[in-house]
Amino acid sequence: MISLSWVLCALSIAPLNDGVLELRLEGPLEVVSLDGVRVPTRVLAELAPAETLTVRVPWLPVDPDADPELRRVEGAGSARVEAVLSAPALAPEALSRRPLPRPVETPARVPAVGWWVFLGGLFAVLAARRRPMAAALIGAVFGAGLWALPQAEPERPVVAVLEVGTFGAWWVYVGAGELEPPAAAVLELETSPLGASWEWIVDARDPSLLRRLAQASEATALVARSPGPAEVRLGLTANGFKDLDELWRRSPAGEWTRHGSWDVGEPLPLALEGGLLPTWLRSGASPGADVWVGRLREAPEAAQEAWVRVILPAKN
Amino acid sequence: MEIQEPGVQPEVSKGRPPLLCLLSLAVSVTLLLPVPGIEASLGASPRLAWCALVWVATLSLPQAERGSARWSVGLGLGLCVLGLAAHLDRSRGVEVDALWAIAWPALLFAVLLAGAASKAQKTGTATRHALLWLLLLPGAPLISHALTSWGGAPPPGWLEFLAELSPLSWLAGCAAGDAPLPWLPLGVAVLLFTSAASAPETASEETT
Repeated sequence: MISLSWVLCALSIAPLNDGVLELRLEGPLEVVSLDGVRVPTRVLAELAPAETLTVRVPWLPVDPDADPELRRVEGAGSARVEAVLSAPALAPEALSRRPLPRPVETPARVPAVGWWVFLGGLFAVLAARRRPMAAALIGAVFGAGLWALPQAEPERPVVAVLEVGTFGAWWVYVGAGELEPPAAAVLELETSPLGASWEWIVDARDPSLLRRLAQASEATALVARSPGPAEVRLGLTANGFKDLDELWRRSPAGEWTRHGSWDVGEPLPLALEGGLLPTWLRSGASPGADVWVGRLREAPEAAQEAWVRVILPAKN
Repeated sequence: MEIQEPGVQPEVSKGRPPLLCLLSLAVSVTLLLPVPGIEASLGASPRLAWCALVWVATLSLPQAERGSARWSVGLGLGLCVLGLAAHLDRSRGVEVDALWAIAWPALLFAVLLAGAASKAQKTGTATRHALLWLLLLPGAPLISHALTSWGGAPPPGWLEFLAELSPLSWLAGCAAGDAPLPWLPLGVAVLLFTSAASAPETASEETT
């Protein structure tokens, strides 16, 4: 049920630029949205009467001098702004010049349970082979059962790349249509194509699994950037960062070499033959720079695939 | 247990599917595997139509006079594959209506044409059935396609019409993303079935 618009203005809160709102919600309440923001923002909750919840919500106001405005969409409870916190730091300009990762969607596939039911069907049909019509009927039953199995979803991996340069280290996350950026990410995400519409959804229906999702159409790539580790050390003598499944290096002379997997603490493995480096990882480095590109064995929580790309001016 | 009439030459009823069905099983399951080359070449076309094409072609084949395989066991195996293919298509976003529009004619083709082949073997009309099958199922579409692709001339109108009657041609059209009406191909399937079933039986057991 959509109730009439109901606006609550936060009192005694100094106007700020982009920030994070700390909201106090009281049930019964299901959906609250923010008004006067550049990016539509919704908070989903399932609060029973007298139940309360405090959540943090990204706030991207159209007018930086305006107060936060809340609109209760579903539910008769209340919502109020407890505090306005400062937004995470903006990413350095140089970071946006690096080519973005390209997540490749994996189409839906038959799940394991589907294959097991299928094999069961084959065995059942063959077991009934001396009863001609029974075998066909059993096949029909298994066929109908397979048709009705719950659908598998296509996998749309989020690709993360740790960009390291003179600006420090920053994680760049790219997801197609949906992204759950880390808490420290810049609030207003970049989109590809530029200017595509997207929205913030804070899913607090299960308070123990609070999720902050950015959603757009499937054709839109959402890009989040957040500060990375303070130090990433990759050198000829040792891997001082993390285990890598694959590593490529471009010398200041411009020669690419592939080194395979590289574990922490090990010296740089010898160059190997073959192996293709994704195009987006090859580009973006100026001539003469020292480039290290590796695929991480373990991706950070928000991504399914992760890379590290170090581009530093050559040491003389 | 199966009882043989005294005086009738005992036929071996092993209850196995036709060997070609096992080949079709391997081919159609391969079409459903997450192999990049197959996914790239088939694209978004419905796997149900491809699998139905393989199975209808196999099950409709004229049967040997002294064969011992059971077409219904092959049909059972084929239905399992079609269910799996439909599941995969649904997961890939193909509408249920679109799948159903392929599924019900494909099922009727499989039952009628497999039944026709089996009946023809039992009624001693195997040769007539084989000729009709050759002309109406693979023959006309293949000749029409050959004339179009390599002959450098459009096929005559009657041949194009004959090609459109083929259930296999209809399924190939579905696999290519077309949505032709199935009534004429269904008529051909019914014609083949009634032509085989109308003759008096010469054997009492299904031994295809």
